[in-house]
Amino acid sequence: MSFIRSRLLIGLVVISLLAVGWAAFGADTAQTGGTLVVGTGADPAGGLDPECVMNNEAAFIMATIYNRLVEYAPGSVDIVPGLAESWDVSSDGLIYTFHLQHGVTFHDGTPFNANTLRQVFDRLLDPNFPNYYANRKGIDSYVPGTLEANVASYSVIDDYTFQLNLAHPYAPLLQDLAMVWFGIVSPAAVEKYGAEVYKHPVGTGPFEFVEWVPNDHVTVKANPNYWRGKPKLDEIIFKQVPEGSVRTMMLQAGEIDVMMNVPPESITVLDNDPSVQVYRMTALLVNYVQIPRMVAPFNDIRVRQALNYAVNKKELSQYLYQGLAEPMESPMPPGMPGYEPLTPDFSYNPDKAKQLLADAGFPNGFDCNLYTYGNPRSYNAAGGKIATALQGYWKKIGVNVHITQLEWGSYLRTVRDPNFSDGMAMSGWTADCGDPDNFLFYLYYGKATNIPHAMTGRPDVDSLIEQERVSADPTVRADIIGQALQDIWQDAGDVWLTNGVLVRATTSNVHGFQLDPLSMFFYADQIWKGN
Amino acid sequence: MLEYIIKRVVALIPVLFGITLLVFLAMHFVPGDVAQTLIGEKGGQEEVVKLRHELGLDKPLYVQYGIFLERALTGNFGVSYQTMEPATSAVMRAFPVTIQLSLVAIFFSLVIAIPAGIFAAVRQYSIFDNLLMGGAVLGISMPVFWTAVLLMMLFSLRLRWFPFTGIISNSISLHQITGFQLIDAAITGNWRAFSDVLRHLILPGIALGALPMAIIARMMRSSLLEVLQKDYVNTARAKGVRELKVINKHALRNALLPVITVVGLQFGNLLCGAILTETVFAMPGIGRLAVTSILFRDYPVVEALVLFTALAVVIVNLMVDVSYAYIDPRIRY
Repeated sequence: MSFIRSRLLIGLVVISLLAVGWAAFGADTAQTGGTLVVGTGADPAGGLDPECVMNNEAAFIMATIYNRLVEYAPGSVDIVPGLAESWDVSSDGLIYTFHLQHGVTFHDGTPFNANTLRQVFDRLLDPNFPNYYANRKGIDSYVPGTLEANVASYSVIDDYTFQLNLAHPYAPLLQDLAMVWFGIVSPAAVEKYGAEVYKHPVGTGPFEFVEWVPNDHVTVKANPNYWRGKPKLDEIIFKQVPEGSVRTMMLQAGEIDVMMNVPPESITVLDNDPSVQVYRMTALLVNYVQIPRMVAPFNDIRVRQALNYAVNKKELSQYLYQGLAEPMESPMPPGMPGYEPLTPDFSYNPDKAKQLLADAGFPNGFDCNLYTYGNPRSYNAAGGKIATALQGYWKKIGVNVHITQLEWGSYLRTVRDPNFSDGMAMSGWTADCGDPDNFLFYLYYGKATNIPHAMTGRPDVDSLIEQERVSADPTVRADIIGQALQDIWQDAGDVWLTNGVLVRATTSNVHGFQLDPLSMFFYADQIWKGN
Repeated sequence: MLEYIIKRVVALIPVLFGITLLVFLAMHFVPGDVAQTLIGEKGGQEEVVKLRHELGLDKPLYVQYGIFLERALTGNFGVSYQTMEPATSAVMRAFPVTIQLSLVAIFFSLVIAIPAGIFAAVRQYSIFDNLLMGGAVLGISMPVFWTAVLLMMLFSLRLRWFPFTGIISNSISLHQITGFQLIDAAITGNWRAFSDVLRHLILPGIALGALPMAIIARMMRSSLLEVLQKDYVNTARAKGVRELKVINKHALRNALLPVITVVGLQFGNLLCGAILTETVFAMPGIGRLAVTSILFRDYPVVEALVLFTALAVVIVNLMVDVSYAYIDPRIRY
């Protein structure tokens, strides 16, 4: 009897455990349907044609509408299949053969295959193509620097095989193609809308475009035929709320579900709100001071080192950036493939800084200019205040800095002028893709014009960057990149300041939300809302 | 009267011409560069030069002004550098939002300011007078972004009575006819949309109306006080006319004249775009359009905007002048 009773008891316990487990499992089961409201800071100015715009607000939306040939793995910059299910690269690094996914259609019903892909490349690379992308005036595009500069020809091998032939090896190609800026646009939509396709975006992505009311919102709805499976949400509304404090209140009230740009002053409030979940991740960005390396007194390496040693970056990270920053330890940020902290670490040492200045012939310091913008940037939430902080540090070693703060447009005009050499300037960069070249080439290649005077006069560094770009062997390339980073760092070509932390917040009933290091909004099809 | 109105309208032409010149020069002499701003921090110098050429910004200034005047005369200001849509349609879409917001704000301020001003004048130096005028000083001194955030914290976050931002809820669809959401809702009989838009307009209307309310209340008070000292008012009182009638019939009408001038000026100000209110409440009106366009150096939109708002202000002023004749029989044009 007792045996039966104990069996019964065990049975009951097992059943109740199963029931509890089932209930718990049920609670965690992905729920489908519903509208996700994403609060962003601005209008997707420039539109939603990926090859013609470089605007983060537009990128968030385009990441839901388009796929790329290759894509980033969730939460990282590793390359995974996108519209190409696999690819081969020839040993000389010149031929990229893409094997395309079968059974994919664009939102307008156009099938995706090698022929439609050829039309996509025609639009980007053939100036005689009727709807050549650059026929539209005033665009902002990655095509010239990436595809145009490197692709010699392209061809359809069969219905689902497509080949890119490069003029010379170009190692960052796959990383470039994975960027949101290389979304594959329906050729039928391009033909139908011409240059106005930016207002009528059609892709193969998890969500279809519904409407864009400028300065108000953009709506996309689930693509029921999405080739990776139907998204869990019914629709996403990207609502523009320019004021950070208002976005914060709306998130707390549940009027928006996801907050893309979290102002630093709101983080404590949101951290303490149980109805909100705050997400943090090291962001791929750098915040630094650009030095005119060829102009006296900055042409002496000891002066540049002194300027670096004189700044307490830990203090800046903790107080000015409220813990949402870390001192830089390499010209590129942690999280980039091949990152490692470099030596010396240029940690705060005002005595050493003074000594270096004295050795360089400036025992009493010198006067110089520092140009800055006033508005907060993704890599510098403190805006113009950073310049004042630096002024204070440098004053302690006798360097008197005269700050000129300019409105963003004027700042760009002034410091990006090829003839600018009037002093130091605040600068920064957020990664476009997960290739170190994105930092090396744009920030430190002496012949690039994006940031004048960055590392000019270092032919050895220029040569290393030229080599890494064309290197087909990943191991050799990694060594060259490591050497270039070390040379740039030891040259103290900039005053290295901070890396940053990416912060986003959602209401606590949003599940499946994931940050990604490029600060985008990929994999929205994985998001679902609980009760 | 008609002759007067025609004269005023003709006089508008040189005024508007002067405004175009001023705006054009101001935008072009502001430091910074359209092409560089549009390309952003990542573009190379070749791209900046190319874009400058594409936008015609490398042409001499007088040529650019000529092109602009030609466009302005045909009502086509070119396309926005930012969104590539015609500048005129961007402005025409934003204007109704601002007009509705301004009307709600002015309605709110009049409903409170006129009775408060009268009451304060009639009971001069009483506790009510002091309280009301103290409140008015507060209304003038409180920055609108602060009032706006306070209102939102109380009525949207805590009480959940009003929505936070925008002009209409995303869940409500409204067929567009005139572009004025309230009118469109009324025409189509969509009362759900009507009440939704109205609810969206109330908080920004109060925030925006606080300043004109304070100014109008003070003006009403001082104007009425002045009239109440006049001999004819004393005469009326001496004849035994009841105080309410004295105020209502003899004093108020005369005291209203300067108040109407102020109301007109305030309304004109509101029409020029409630930049802060529209930014905080994320309303897609003229003020927000102005901020984004100026920051991007979006010349076509800024020029269209200024011309349209200048026109609106001039028309409001004309209406104020005309309304004098109705209120004060002594005024004839």
